[in-house]
Amino acid sequence: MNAAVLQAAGLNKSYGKNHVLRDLDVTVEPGKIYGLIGRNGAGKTTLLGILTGQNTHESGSVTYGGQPVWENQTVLGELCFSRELSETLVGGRNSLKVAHYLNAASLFLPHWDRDYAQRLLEEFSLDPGKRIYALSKGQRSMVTVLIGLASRAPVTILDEPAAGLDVVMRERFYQLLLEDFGETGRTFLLSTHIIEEAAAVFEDVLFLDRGKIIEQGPAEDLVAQFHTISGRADEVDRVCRGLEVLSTETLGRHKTAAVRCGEEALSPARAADVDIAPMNLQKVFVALCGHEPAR
Amino acid sequence: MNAVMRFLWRQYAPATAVFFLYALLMTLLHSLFPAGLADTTLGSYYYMFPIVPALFLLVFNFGVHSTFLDIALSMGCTRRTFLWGHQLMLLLLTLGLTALTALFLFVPGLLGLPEADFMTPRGLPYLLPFTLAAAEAASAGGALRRTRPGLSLAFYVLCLLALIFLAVQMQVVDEPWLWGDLAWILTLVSLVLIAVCLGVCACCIRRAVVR
Amino acid sequence: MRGTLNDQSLIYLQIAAGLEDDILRGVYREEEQVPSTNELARVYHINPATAGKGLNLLVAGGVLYKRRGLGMFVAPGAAEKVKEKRRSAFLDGYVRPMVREGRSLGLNRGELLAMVERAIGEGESE
Repeated sequence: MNAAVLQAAGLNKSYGKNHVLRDLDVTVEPGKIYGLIGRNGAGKTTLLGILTGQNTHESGSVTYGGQPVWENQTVLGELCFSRELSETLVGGRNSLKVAHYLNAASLFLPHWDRDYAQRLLEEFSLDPGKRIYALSKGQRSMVTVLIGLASRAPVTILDEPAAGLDVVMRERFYQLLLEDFGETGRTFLLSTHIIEEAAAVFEDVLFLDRGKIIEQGPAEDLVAQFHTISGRADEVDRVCRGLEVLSTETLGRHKTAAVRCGEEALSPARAADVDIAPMNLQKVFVALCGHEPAR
Repeated sequence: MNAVMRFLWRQYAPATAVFFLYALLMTLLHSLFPAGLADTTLGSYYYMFPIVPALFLLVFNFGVHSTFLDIALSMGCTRRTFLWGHQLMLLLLTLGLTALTALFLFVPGLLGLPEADFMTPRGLPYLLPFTLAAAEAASAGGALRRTRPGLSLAFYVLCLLALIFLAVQMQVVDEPWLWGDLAWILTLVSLVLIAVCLGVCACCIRRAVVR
Repeated sequence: MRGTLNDQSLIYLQIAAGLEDDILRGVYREEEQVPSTNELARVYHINPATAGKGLNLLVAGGVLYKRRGLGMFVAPGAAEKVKEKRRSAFLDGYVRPMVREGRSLGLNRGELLAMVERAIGEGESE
């Protein structure tokens, strides 16, 4: 089982009355870096847990290379879902040592690379003898990243890897990720809600909104479809007729409209006296998913 | 299976080592002061010997079901493998600790030292099911901890009961004419307890999710 | 190569444009190897596939060619091809916007052409 497609179809998951995932379909092809982008509470971690057989779901299927993922040891050995380490465990604080987790990883993860793990330990200046509750949030994130990278799993999933890291470590993380990807070409799936920083690193993006994957595909292709058109309000309105307008902002007679359309549809606008600018991935996400207040 | 066994062994190894040292120390002390030990505190530790393995397994089963199950699952272990791996580990440990107890029961006599008298040899065969019952009850308690804390407590109580049964059984096997059917009744109860707790563990693990 | 990327146009287009600039400046000469996708990815912190897209764009335009197993190299006559491509884009990219801006400022034909002449004159005296 070398490189296979991780696929989910018709996933439904509810927590009590909260219907988190609705008939969700997603396809993760091998050899790419994916970004799973969604707001807080959108269900990213839940989805990732289901994709890796760590969470249950009410209906739908999850397969890897055509084989079901649930309770399938062979398949599970090819996937790695490196989660946030919790500060507390049932019954108190997490007094396990970093070394404990690393040892568990070396036992359970069939592709574990001990030397790589050692190099990363030194790079991150992590003391394996330190207990989890004594680590800062950033250091806990680093352990998560370490386990994900050193797992050398053909499909490696990292849940909000950059969230706890400071800006210097975030840059270093993206560098390490790209180096690893350059060397191994393995599949990475990163979930994040800090979009713009990571945008250049993703080849494909998945937008999770209201329980479904509303956009899936190459990031650059997606971004190429969105533009802002701004200028005098009546000019902007004239130019936008027939185009899909996502949102508008008005300041006096100045109006800015976010539109989604192809290059050809834009040519009349280019001839008019309006400014046309591209939208970056973060702005595209906000335009598509910024419809209700965050939970 | 290999990975689970090695992972769990790391948790139990220190406990096993401590038990071994305890057994060694107690036997040594008894050999040196056979008479003088009876009424001292050390003496009571010595005469607790049969239930000590159960105690150790009990204590170390606390964290297994939530923490270690979580870690194992998050690193791609299947629930089935963890369940059977853990059960196998319990069985092997119980066997091993029973064997060690037997060792310390007979070795002093063979070496010409004062014979060990913390329990009657007739009690040996019963060590296995009773110790296992206590360990299983503790496991079930641990498994329920996250989802049903009340029920979890009930199983810990059962675990203590199993220990009491063990202590009682060690007394009762020597005088069957006095206690009648109590010996095999208690044995039956232990076996039922093992089955029930195994069922509870299986049920909990089957539904477990990583938090 | 431009030091950093901006969000004014797609990344792979910026990569391609940056390499074109370098070819015009003589940073990469004919038959010399240009950076690989992994090297570009490392320097710009972008996905290697995106870098690859930029390189492929230049291959399609005949500016670079691929040597199997070795990498991408500057094609003969690349500098000329880049100039030609930019010449045809010059009208759309610079001239038309300039005319439009002039119109919105209310400049008439004469005034605009005078400005152009002046700029050319200044350029020649440098």
